[in-house]
Amino acid sequence: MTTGTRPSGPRHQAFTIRYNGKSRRLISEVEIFPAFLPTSSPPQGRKCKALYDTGATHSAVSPQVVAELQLASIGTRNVGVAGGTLATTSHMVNIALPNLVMFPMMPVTKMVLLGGIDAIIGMDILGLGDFTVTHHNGNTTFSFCCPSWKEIDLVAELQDNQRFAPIHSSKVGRNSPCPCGSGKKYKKCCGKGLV
Amino acid sequence: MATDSSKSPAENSSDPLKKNLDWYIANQKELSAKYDGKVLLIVDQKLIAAFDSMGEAYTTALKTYTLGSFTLQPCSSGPESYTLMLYSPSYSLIS
Repeated sequence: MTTGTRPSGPRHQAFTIRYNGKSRRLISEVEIFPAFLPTSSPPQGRKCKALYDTGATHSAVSPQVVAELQLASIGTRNVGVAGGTLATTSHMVNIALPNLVMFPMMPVTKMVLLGGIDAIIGMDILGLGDFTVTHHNGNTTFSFCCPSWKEIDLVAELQDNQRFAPIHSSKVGRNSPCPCGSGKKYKKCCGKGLV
Repeated sequence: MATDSSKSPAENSSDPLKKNLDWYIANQKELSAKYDGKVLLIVDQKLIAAFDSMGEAYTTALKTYTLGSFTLQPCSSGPESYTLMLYSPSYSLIS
């Protein structure tokens, strides 16, 4: 399921992808266009299955995308993989992520991709904003906001949460289960000596 | 000029865009000292202009040159400016 919001600030754009259960790959549909200026009408694009890969320094598209969109080369680029490097071509495109989070004039590298993947969204795009992945309640959710909106520090959030959590609440009855989750009665656990 | 037809254009050393990349790498130290963070427009192994953004470089280049005849090269020190690194081991199978 895809949802999108636009946080405060006129230029922020965001989207969220939610999976039912855990996903081992972060994938969404994106649309890739031959490069065009935002002021001009878009040419025919191609919907692609994109993998979000923090292990890729740059974004890439498959040879099929290059051929179908007739993308001319704007240069040669090396691709470094385990075992060496290979030379391939780079191409200029506009990329529309979910919720119309647009990236105009992005150079992408042509390379063969596996598993029905048409494109890789690499750190050149992910690094333009905030990218989070969570697995709360066993469901994978990833979210992206561009440009960067705020720092997300789970250590700080956890410390804040623990600081303000009422460990010794006066509303807890002495024979009630302890709110710390131990399974013991409050009077024999965190409330020992207090009630 | 003879070419090796068994190689893709990007792999072929006679490809003009490959020559532009080789020229950039050979002169990267001097170029990055002067144009760090810029996008270079390179034609026939010559620096034509330097731009602040890829979009500006692309639209300006198209006014004079046809697609496929020029290179737009981000300029910085190190191989990152011309190398896509894929750190997942699975990619080694497709190279």
